[in-house]
Amino acid sequence: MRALYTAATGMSAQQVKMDNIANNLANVTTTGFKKVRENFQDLAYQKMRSPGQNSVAGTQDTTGVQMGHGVELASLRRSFQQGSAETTGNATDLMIDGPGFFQVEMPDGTIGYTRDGSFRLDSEGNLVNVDGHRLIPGGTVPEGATITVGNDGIVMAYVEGEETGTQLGQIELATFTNPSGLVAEGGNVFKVNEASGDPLTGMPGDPGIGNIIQYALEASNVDVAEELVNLIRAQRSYELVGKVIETSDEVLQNTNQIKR
Amino acid sequence: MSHGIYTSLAAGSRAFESLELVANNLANSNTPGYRAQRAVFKVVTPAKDSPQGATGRIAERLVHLEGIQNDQRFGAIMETGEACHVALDGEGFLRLETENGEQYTRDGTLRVGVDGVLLHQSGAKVLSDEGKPILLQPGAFIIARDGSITQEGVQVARLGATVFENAEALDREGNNLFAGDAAQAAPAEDVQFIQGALEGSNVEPIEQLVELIRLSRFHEAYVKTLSALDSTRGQLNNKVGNAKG
Repeated sequence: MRALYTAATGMSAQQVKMDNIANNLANVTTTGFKKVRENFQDLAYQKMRSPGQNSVAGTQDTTGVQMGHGVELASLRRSFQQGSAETTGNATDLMIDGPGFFQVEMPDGTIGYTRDGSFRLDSEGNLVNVDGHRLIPGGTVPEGATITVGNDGIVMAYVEGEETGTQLGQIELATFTNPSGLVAEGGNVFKVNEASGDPLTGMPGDPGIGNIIQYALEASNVDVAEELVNLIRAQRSYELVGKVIETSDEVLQNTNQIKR
Repeated sequence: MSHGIYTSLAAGSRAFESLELVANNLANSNTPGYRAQRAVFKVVTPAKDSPQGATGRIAERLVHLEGIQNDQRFGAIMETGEACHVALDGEGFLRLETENGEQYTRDGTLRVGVDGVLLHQSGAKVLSDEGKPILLQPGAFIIARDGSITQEGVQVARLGATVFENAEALDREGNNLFAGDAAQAAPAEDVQFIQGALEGSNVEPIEQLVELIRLSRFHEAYVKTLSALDSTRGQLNNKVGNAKG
């Protein structure tokens, strides 16, 4: 009874869809979060008769008979669509308008990539992200100084009483050929991977990199309405495939009654 | 053995086949570019000159699964906003280069490979209207309605689409791919490409549910027919056996 197994693949696919929607919705207020989309594909077909072969009826078959086996998850791909800007008034809050990523130094010495620009100063005056990982390349901000970050990523420090500021450095951004291939590490940080390709670093303002906007954060790109519509679709599909299982059961039950 | 029993057996098998099709269709009701499968049944009567027909008895009629067609109606176009998503508005299939030769899809879930080659989600290379893989530079790209792909104002390639005269008979390869005879393929003329959107599955849940109800009642009737035939035969055996001269 292939129908039972085929229907089961449909139920588990919709289950994955609902799990993923739950994760997207849970991150609707996570700064710099990028939603994930599920992609489905049909499973291989059993070719019982090819088109053109002679059928039992003696006529030449024009369509053939191919029985499917249901559906499978092809991939979960992250969508790097730009999230909207939320102004915060905090000088160490930065947002990227464009495809680039901030680079932070991870505890194991590797580089992590993030869209979450909610930085703060640590005790040594370094810009660090929410988990305390240092923004690279960064400068040390003198105590009591206020900073400005230009669209081009140049960080200036102004100490009270001094007329001119000092340039601390320029923030560099990384882009990827296939950002969807990046691996999410948690903490809004991504790691480079074979599928993402090597990072291409550039200065903010360069073409294809993006600008930095100070006093703003990038909101999650999850669209609640879209997720809810998808949730309804997933739930209804789940129910529909469930009906196939019910019917298969009925048919089998009836079949069992043939032989008394 | 009476003909009735085989006739109803054939009918019973058809219910199982229908059920498998509905299962596959409903399992793929959220699969982009999926084309519903539709069974074509046919009543077969043996010809007059066949051994059965020649005896002059009432010929046995069997229901036979003639074939399974791909429903070619369009699925709904859903906006996703993803640059790598393309929906085809109108008749035609995207051309792909796979390990097994050229294959075709309505699923426009694309991605850019590490080397910059435009790929279908299955990993197959997307082909241009000239039948060549499409190489993209790092950075954004725009797909116009006519399929032309531009990067920073320069046209890189043009997406190709193919139509088939017998699209309802295309072979299904899984991974949302179809295989067809290249000789019957022609360039699509009335197709538009919509970037940032996907074509949904064309499975109509209502139709599938109606089919589900139909086949389950049909199967019930088949079981009843078989039981009736069986009890007729049983009675015949008993009565004839009991008859005394």
